[in-house]
Amino acid sequence: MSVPIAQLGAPGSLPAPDAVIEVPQRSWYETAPVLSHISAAYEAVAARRKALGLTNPGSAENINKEVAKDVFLKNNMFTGLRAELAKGLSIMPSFQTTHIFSIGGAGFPPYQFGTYYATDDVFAQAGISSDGSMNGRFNFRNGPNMIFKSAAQAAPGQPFMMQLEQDVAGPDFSLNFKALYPSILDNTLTGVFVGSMLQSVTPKLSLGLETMWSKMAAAQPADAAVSYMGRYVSGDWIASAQIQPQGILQASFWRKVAERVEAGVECQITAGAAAMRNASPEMLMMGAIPATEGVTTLGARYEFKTSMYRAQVDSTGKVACTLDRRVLPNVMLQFAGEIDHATTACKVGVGIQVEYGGEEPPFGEDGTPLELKQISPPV
Amino acid sequence: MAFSLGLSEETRERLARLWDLSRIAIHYGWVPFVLYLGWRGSASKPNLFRILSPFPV
Repeated sequence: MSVPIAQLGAPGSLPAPDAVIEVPQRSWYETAPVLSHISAAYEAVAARRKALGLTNPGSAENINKEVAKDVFLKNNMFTGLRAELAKGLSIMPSFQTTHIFSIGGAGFPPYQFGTYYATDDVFAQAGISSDGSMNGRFNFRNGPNMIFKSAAQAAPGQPFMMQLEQDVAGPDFSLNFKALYPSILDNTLTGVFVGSMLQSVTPKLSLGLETMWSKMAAAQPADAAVSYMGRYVSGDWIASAQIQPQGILQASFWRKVAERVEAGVECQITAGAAAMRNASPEMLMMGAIPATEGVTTLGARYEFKTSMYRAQVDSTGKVACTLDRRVLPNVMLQFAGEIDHATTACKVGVGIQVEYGGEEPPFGEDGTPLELKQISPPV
Repeated sequence: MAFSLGLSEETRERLARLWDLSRIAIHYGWVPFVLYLGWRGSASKPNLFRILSPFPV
């Protein structure tokens, strides 16, 4: 469009002499000849990304958290008799000790002592049991959206386990870097190193990948693998899938059935190299080709005001359930049971969990229980 | 693997000894350290007996 020359000099087209012309502050990389294009392109992409209205997808590790950690009872299963005494010594910052006594539980030491200390930025946890094994955790916030995590495990006569982790939570992505057993004592870097990224693609869908590099000993060749994952969150249901190159496919589906009822199903298929690793060496010697195996687990969780009921059944013939019931504000009874129909084995566990308040007494002056502050370790 | 960090035998031995020592320090020192952190952070400064006893005293 052409503009008549006379109009260019018109008073309206120029700013008033006393007007302050705002010049945006530009740094050197925004004005340098080549870099300016790159930074302009980056800004355009960033603006587009912001316009998509994406949220942080959660960490790659928690891709199937709702099913595996909330609904399934893997973390809640125990056997034998168990008593847990938790004592809150301070609420802000949080400081608590726990004593766990256990009889007849397979894999549980008779006595365990644990303690944790937590502020907004630091979380330190330590545990030691009567068989001499120790576990420790130390996390701290090293940036506005970053958390450094470390964990160690030591047991007499067993290799020392150490894990260092860095979590970065971006506006629409999550990064995680992990090192297990890192060492330079063999004159070369050994250990397992994992980097993962989960990116929101649409407000509901997030896709991610995880790369792993491992070298367990200096003489061994290094190993690398990439696995892919996806997660779809839609209102009251969540679907997630993960595929690992060794031949493991894991798919899970979670659904809020009613206000207090959640259900989840997970299917894991193991084929190829991963199945080969699980098979016994004798079978491989005989030339048997390991079959593709699949396990499907179906579980449900009912959450009531004072109790929680979890049940699950899987395709290998295991039926299990746990019931946690809060009989007093600070006393919880736990029941756990599992029947393995394939081997006709069963496990039963009964436990009690008692929490003592910190500075406040657990009961009011007239003997009625006060509403205790829920003392739970921050994750 | 071709790449080597070029650490001398002496350095590696020293590092290995340092690592062994820190491993033992973590194994036996971490629980007391967290208890100390909690004691320092809490306002009531509970004594050692109160920290270690499983009863609400």
